[in-house]
Amino acid sequence: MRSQLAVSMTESTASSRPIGFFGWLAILAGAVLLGYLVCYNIQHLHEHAHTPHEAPPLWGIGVLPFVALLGCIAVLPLLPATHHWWESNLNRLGVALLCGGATLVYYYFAEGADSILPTLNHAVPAEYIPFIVLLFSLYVISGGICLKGDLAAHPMTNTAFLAFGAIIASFVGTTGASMLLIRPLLQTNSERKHVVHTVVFFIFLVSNIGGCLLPIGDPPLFLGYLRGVSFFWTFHLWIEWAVCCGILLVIYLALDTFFYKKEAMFDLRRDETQKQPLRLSGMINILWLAGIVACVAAVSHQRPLPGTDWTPFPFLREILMFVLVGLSLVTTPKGVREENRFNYAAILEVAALFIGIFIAMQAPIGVLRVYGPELGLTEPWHFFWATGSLSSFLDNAPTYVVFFETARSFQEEALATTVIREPLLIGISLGAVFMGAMTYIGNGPNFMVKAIAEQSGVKMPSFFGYMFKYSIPLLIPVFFLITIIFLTESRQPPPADPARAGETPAVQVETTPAHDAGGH
Amino acid sequence: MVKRILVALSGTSYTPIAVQCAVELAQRHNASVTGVTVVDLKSLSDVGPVPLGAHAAAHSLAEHRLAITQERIEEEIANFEKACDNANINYAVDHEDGDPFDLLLKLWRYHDLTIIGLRGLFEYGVVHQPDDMIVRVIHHGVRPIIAVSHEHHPIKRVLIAYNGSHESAMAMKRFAQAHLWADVTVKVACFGFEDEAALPLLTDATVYLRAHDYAPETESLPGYPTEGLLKHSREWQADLVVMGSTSRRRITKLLKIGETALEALIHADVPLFLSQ
Repeated sequence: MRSQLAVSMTESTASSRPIGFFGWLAILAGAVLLGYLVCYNIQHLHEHAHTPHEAPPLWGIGVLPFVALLGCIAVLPLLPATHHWWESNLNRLGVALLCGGATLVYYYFAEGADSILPTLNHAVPAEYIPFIVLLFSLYVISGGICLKGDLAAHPMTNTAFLAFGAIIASFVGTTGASMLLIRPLLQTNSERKHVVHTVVFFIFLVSNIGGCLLPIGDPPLFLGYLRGVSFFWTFHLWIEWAVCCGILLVIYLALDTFFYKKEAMFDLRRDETQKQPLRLSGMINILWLAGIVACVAAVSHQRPLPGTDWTPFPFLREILMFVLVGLSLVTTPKGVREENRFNYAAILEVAALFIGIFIAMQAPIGVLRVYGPELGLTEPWHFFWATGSLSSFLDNAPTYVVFFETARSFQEEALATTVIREPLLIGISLGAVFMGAMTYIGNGPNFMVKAIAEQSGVKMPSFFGYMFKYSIPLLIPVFFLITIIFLTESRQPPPADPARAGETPAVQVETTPAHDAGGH
Repeated sequence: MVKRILVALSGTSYTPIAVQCAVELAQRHNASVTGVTVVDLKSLSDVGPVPLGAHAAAHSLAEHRLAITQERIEEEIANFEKACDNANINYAVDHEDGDPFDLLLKLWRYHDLTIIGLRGLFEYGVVHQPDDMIVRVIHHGVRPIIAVSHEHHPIKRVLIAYNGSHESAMAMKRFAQAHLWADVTVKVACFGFEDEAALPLLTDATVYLRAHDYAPETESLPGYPTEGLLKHSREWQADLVVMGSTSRRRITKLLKIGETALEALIHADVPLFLSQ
């Protein structure tokens, strides 16, 4: 019987199987294709593609691969027949490329062979590569920082932990902040019996809501940045961030004070005596993280380097990020990543699936640019709740892009002048980031935090328990408040220029030709 | 006559009481005890929906659950073996992988009595199960069952819930025939009947129990069994409640209520003798 158990454990490690001959062949072919696309991207940097005025023919078929891929991501891990098969990154990559390939086949028949390379160029070198390189860099570098310690788990200490996490999430990414802080927070609370609410609020604040102030905080915001939203625009969301975090922190403090009083005296005495000061190792990585922020903020082939007349060449930003990753790997003290139980599995999974998502997404984006206004979404709160509802259950990055393009299509001149109405962008950004907290599957770090908490002995609620006991009763009222205060048209701030009174504030989206090429 | 007792080593707070109960009964009846552990790989690896990028975390969680389960199983087996050795009784350990209900049903065929906890079946502190697992065990056909509570009390006062149904009669008969405990005070209670309707039922039950060397008290009580049985078992200070169990749907239909008396008792931690 024991041997049977061992077999089952081995079966479930499909993702760590060695790559076979065909696997390597596929990787080699992928690398060659990627190199070709990068060269194509550089050669066609200054060519403008036309923006669409009508959807491609049979667009209903064109969006199917995108829907199918999202469906596979949601369903295949749950089916007993495909559960283990889906654990292999090569299988995930195969499904992603199949859906991406189906999109290209659609373009071939709908718009001709000439449309394939521009589609791939837009999907892979222009978006996928910068996106995945940023995630990879943040993942590797933040994985080299380890915070350890055991403080007395007073309600104020826990609240301070959460507040600190909500602040740094925008600078190191929600995944990085979550992985950095969850273990010391659990260690701090290890003597207490009532810990579930702390982990849940950690997911709310650190794994999601905290990450809305910079494009590196949460992947969808970086996609907005790649589509031309300025790096510092997301700082405009500070007031929504502050109000949301403030309300949740006050609720948490009240709740934790209540539960603290319910703890047994013996446990509280043990908590007071078993303390260890916080100790940060791998601090050099903070410097490399600052480098990443600087790279994203300053290095772009779309504009000169700040303070100079020199415009960086394409992919310099990504090259610099790789250099910073290399520096992190070399300079991080031995053992820090082991203490964080760091491995590349999560980022490989994201990389394998997102290449398909980015390619398959091109068809729905093209359709939305034409039919977006017909969806009936007109107000910022429409976008907030629509983006948020989908982001609660699907990955928030493609969801953000879908609604971003819908908002861009909102007025005729938007396509030509590349302007997006700011209130709509606020609604989309807040919906994508905030409502990822609604379920365990709304954002990757939510589940990672849940898994680490359970491994530390915290009995976390089930999928529906999390929703019905915590996220719906606590977050929905807060989001309603955010809607009323910030997202109804009557509450929008008037334009600074009195001569432009009556106009809706807009965000100028800097676009490269590649970013206009989505509709061909 | 009880000669083979099956006890579920479930890894819950009820398990030590279940083992103690099994060992005491085995000593009294010169029976052997089989301790069974079950690894339900399906439920252990079911960590729920996983978002993009978190499958490594999900895999790590499933591995952690397996490791903890194995650790707890080893602890449970060691405690069981120690208890049996100390009591000098015959015992065996059966370690199974698979569906807990199917495995219990398979083992039940060769045992006279099954002893489990009121809640949690092979959880090992890892998988949270619904509180009505015992109802599901019964519905799978495992019976008779003794479902123990958190605390061990010597069985001195036994309350038999009897309403004349086939199921409640079967439970009473199995209890009477097994003669599990000597010197017990037995009471037969009939709920929700008019006195005239309850009297013949209680008289017949008394005659049957006397034939099996019991001298039962009887009482007809008003109200639904859902509330009345639990309340009366507390007032009368019953150490064990004997009751029949039929399918939940049928009970619900009969009582026109959403919760069965059985479920009420399980939630209240009253030790039960269940049959069908």
